[in-house]
Amino acid sequence: MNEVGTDPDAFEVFYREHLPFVRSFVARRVADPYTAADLTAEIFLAVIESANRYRATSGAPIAWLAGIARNVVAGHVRKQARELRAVSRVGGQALLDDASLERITERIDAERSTRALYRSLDALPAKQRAVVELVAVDGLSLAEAAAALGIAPGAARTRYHRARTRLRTELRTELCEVTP
Amino acid sequence: MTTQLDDFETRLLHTLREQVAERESTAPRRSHGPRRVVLTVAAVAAAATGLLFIPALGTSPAYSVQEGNAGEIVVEINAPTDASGLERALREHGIAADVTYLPELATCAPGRYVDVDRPLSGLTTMVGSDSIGVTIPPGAIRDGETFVLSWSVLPMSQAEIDALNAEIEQDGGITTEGAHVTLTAGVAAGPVQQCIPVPTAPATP
Repeated sequence: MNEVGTDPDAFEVFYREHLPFVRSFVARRVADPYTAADLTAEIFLAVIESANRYRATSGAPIAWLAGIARNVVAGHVRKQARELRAVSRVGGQALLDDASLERITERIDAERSTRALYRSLDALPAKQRAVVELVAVDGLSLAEAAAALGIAPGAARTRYHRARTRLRTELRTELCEVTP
Repeated sequence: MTTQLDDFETRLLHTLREQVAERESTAPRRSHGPRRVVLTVAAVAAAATGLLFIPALGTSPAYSVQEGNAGEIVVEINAPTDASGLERALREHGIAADVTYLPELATCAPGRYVDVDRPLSGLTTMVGSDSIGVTIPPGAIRDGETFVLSWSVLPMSQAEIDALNAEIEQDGGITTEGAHVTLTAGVAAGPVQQCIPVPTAPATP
């Protein structure tokens, strides 16, 4: 994994293996295809820049990637909030063509209901939200979500179940039961 | 896995491969001979748990600031240049910072700022032979507070390195580089005054 940031072939293997996850991750969070293209580029750039810090003991690559992707999306939201222009060395938008744009738009349309769930999580405290987001929106296991967030699996389980209770009673939203 | 890529994803892959290749070509080369680096820390204050640093001779950027998986801010400093750039980068992540790189071996005169009145658990450092890392956990620097870092490096003279090689049992390796380091790190509760450099004596290895 550590060579993903320095060996182009190792990076390509990682990219091809994890692109489907990143496609869905982005489409579940943003409705604008141009932004989705930028975020896809930024997530893989962050992977390149962080690969030397990956440690197998801190979880599977998918959990590590989910943590990175969350931070990239959160950073994008913060930049918007501050009305700063996103600065990226690789602008995803610049690489788009009509056919690819159409495919991203289709993915975004297909994830409409998941995006609604994602937005409804705003009602949760940040720590609970982080766990629910990765489990209910992205389909990670509780153990993977815990690894992505750098917390103990027990803490992830507690937060998920508290969030589940809260969403059920306050928002009438039902999260599925999960086991670690 | 053979994921089918569309044109955008193919172009993105090629662009990112170039980024990786660029990093590969600019990564500092390290020698593999018998080589030992010795550092002494003259002053370590407050939150730091022991930072050692040798100025990088490679071409990597002076610093990088990234957000980690759990919202922590991970700072890597490769060379004591562009302190204001590092301050700006930290501000981008919501952290007010005061970074001072001092020539020779020095610290800032005491009384520059008032420390926050709480333990700074979770603020950690990573030591590398050609860089240092500081990890600032989420919420460690609150509104109105400032992360304060100062450090200086003085390479050891050849005489000092020779003396080390004469004194220390070498188990096959020899000391080829060394540096004395002063470092202070902390969190200011309020305003931070300008740094008045005060020379410090090198610590004994």
